[in-house]
Amino acid sequence: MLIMNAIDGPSSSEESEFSRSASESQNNSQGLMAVEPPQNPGEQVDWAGLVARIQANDPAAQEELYNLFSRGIKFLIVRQLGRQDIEDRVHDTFVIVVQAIQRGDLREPERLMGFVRTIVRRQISAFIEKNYMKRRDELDVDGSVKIADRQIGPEEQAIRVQNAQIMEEILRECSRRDREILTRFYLLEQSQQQICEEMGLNDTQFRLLKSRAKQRFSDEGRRRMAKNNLKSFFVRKRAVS
Amino acid sequence: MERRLPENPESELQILDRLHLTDEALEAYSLGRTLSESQLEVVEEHLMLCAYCQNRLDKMDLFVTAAKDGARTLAAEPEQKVSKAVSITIAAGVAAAFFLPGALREMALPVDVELVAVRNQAKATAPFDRKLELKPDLTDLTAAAISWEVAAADGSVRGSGDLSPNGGKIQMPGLERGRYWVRLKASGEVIREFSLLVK
Repeated sequence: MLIMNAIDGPSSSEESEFSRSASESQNNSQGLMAVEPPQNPGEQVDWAGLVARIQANDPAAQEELYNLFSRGIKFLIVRQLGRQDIEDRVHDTFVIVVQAIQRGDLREPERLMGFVRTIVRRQISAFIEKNYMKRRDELDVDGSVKIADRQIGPEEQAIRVQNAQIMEEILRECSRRDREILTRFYLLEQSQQQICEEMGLNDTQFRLLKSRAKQRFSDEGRRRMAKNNLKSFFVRKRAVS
Repeated sequence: MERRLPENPESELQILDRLHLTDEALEAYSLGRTLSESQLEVVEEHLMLCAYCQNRLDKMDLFVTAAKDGARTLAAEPEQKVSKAVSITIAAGVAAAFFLPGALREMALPVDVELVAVRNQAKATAPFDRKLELKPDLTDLTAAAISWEVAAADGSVRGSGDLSPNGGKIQMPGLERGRYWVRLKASGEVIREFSLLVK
């Protein structure tokens, strides 16, 4: 039930490739055709105007900047540092960005995205370094170490276990060769180039195999979600009656 | 399976497909594959603003983690199975090497059975389905020509012949379980009878 919010079928290029491999009518009926992706919000922003308004200390411009970047900043920080103190870190980063813009550190307003990214990366590096120094000092003093909590919670752990089981089943049902290809790529971290050379595959065959595995993973996820939803519906019904 | 460093580190990777990141780029980023600084810049700047690609990356992360976990489990499994199968085969082979020849030899060799007169109340026993070499007690028998027959409890004769002069042994193929009578005859008359229990 938990997994399913997170799993969806392959999208964009792989999805359309997969769709092409099956019959068109089937894909339409199964809803596998690529949904038109939304526009990138960055395309519509007047970067120069926004930067000018921030420099003029316009609160609405600061809010606009926050709305534009807060999710992305959070996303990149969480990937590197985990969720601990995430709101504080996003806020600190945002303040640094605004102050830097107001100081005139950003010379090319069109490069605002790159500028924000650079600040995020510096913040991540600074945190890692600070944490490293702190650990080293604490280790010198009393041997106790405080490490940021990057462990996944029980809910995420359950999702991970269930997803691993789905994937295990898919791999078991694969041919020996397909399983080897997927194992080489995902587990042994071999490059596509190496796998294709050594196993006599072309790029299309390789991509197709991966996208099929993703599609099956997604289908099985949905199937389990439907099953769990049905189960919880009857449990609720029984509890009510 | 050795991991070889890519000769051309993802340089041909297409990062953007019209407005959004390609699945290949998201997958490479999720797997932590070597992307050039300029490729990384494009990916992360796009992710900074695009919620659609952020969601896709989250899903890709789930798939990649599941693929690693699932493949890891299976990669460990066949070795265990093979080693288990191999060890069982080796153990069976060793056991066969030690015990089979002996067992086969034993199966091929006849079992010696000493037959004594019924009147002594002693009962000779023999294993079933094994070649037998019966040695009847010939004490005090003086007849020049002695014949023998082995009869089952129902009276059916299972074997007969002349007693060989060298020690008077009777060779019998394997018999099924049951009671048998071994009779020695001279000039058509039974001159001695032995009980044989095959079990």
